Amino acid sequence: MNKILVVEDDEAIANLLYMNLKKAGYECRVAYDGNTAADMLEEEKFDLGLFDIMVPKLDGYELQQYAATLSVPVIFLTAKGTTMDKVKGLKAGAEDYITKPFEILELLARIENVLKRYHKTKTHYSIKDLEIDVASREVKKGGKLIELTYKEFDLLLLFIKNPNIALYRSVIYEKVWESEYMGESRTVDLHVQRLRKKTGLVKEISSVYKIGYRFTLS
Amino acid sequence: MKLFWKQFISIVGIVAFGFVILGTIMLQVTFQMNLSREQKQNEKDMQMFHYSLEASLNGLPDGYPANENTIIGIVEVIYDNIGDNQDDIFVYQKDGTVIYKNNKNDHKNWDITLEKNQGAVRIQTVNESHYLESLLVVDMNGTKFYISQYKNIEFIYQNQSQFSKIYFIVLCVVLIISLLVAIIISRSLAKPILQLSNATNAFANGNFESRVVVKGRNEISDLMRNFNEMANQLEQNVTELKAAAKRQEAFTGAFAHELKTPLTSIIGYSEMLKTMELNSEERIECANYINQQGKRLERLSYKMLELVGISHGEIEWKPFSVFEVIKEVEKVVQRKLRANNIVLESQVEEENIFGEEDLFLSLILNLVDNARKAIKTDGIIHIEGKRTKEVYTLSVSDNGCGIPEEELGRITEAFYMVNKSRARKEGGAGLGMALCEEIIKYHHWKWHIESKKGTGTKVEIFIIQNVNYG
Repeated sequence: MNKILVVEDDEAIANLLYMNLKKAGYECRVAYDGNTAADMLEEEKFDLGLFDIMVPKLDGYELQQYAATLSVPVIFLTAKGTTMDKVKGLKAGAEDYITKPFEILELLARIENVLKRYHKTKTHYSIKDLEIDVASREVKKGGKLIELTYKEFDLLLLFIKNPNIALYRSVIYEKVWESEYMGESRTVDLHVQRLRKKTGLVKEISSVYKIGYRFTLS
Repeated sequence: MKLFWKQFISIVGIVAFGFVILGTIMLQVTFQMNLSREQKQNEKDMQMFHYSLEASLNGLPDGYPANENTIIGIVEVIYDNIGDNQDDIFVYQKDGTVIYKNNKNDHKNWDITLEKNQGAVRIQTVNESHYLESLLVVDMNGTKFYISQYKNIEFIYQNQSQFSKIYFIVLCVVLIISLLVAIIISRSLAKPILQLSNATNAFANGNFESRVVVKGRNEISDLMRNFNEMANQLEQNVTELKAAAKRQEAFTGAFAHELKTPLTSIIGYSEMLKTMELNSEERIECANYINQQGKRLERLSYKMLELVGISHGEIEWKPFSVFEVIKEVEKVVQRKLRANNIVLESQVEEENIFGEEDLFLSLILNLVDNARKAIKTDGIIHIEGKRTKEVYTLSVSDNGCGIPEEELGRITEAFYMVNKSRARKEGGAGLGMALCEEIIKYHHWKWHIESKKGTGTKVEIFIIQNVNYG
């Protein structure tokens, strides 16, 4: 389980991040100011830092410099949204820069990307009787290899990486088929049906009324 | 052509031209004067010679042979007596043959057949020497003789050439001097202009600190002084504009931040409610956050409206009683203060203030609210109103936590909060002091904030009652 340090002085946002990261399967710690964050970085080992820039005591840039010495990759999360701010943040050595307000899915995708770059993402998942190997794109059910098409495998990965979140059909389509969703397409439903059948995740991948599908992981 | 060269060439040209013309005229006039003087003198001499000759001829005894020898003899005698021994004398016969010359210098014979008149004069050059040649006609018993006299006037020509040489040297010296003077003058004119040109160029290219060094007092230095003054004014304006733009930018940035922070929570939590399987506890938590952040936005929008309203709204000014306003303030804050065990004391002299009552109420409420936040619990807020001559001073002081000295200058900036996280918890948007400042500016009043960390804050408002307001 990857461990993420969230530094955010606004309590509401800090809690929002905490709840979402927890649901997405990350271990998460929260600091409300720079000094506490620095102490936590020193004492514990983190895979990623999610820093607001304007935090009391030590600001995000300084904290990022410190995190860099411990080779903890950092994503800035801030309301300062001008291009200059982004350039400054990225030049300072941040891995990514997300402006508030953000969408949870986007945040998770960016976190995933950074972790992948640092080879900290899981390459292997075990869910129920399924064994999923991301690198070789092999899925075993009860030790037996099952055949998934290219799109079905991507679809499965999307569900696994975004557990407990309802995914819109349009989002699923855009992420897996990588083209714009034109509405009314049954493609997504068809593939989800097949995936459920092949993997046996009938209960786990549940349809959400008017929205799409959710992969629930207890 | 450059101004420098124009001036330079004009000065040198005028001086050279003037000197050449003047010199030539002077030389010519001197020469002519000398020559005519010599001619006049010569004329007199010749007349004298003529009289002497006539007298001698008339005085000859009768029957004295009137031949060549007689005339030659007479001429020689007269010449020896009254003539200049430098002069040459020739005697001709009627047909032009020379019958006598005193043999000092050789001269070209005068073709007297062409010049038979008494007193003919000409200038002749012999051996590069100039002579003034005069002719005299003598009638001796019917026989005409012609006597010519050569007067050496070379010295006039020599003088002339001497003068010319001197003049040439003087001309050269004058030219050199005028050259130097021209360079100095042109430089002194062109240099400040060049300097000015460079300075204006730099200014145009955005270097607003560009100035010229002013020396002396003439039209150009006046221009330079004016330029400097203009540059000062412009620089000041530009600096003010830049500062205003910077403040505007800072305000916009801060405003965006204040807007985005609650929005982030609202969007985030509502998205969670919409897309996630949550238990009832979590759902309530999300809803609470949305509600709380929504209220924060509401407060922000109210304050913003107030702030914008002051600068744009048409507000009616009326006289109102300070006493009434303070009573109103006490009524509004009493409950909150009692809950935190804070005492509000007021010692206010009654005064009718001309202004906008609601804004004034908002101003005092903001200050009291700030004082309350600074105290937290257990403390005293003191309101005092005093009149001195034209100024009515109202002060709000507390014995709360105070403001750090380095932060004092920034507290009237919109969205500036000394303690951000605590201010948020208290429901502040960081606009209170900015609002106060706007209200005070709107009324053309002054204020002063005094604070010491740990001992408290005192805000004084100086209400200047203009007689025009009645």
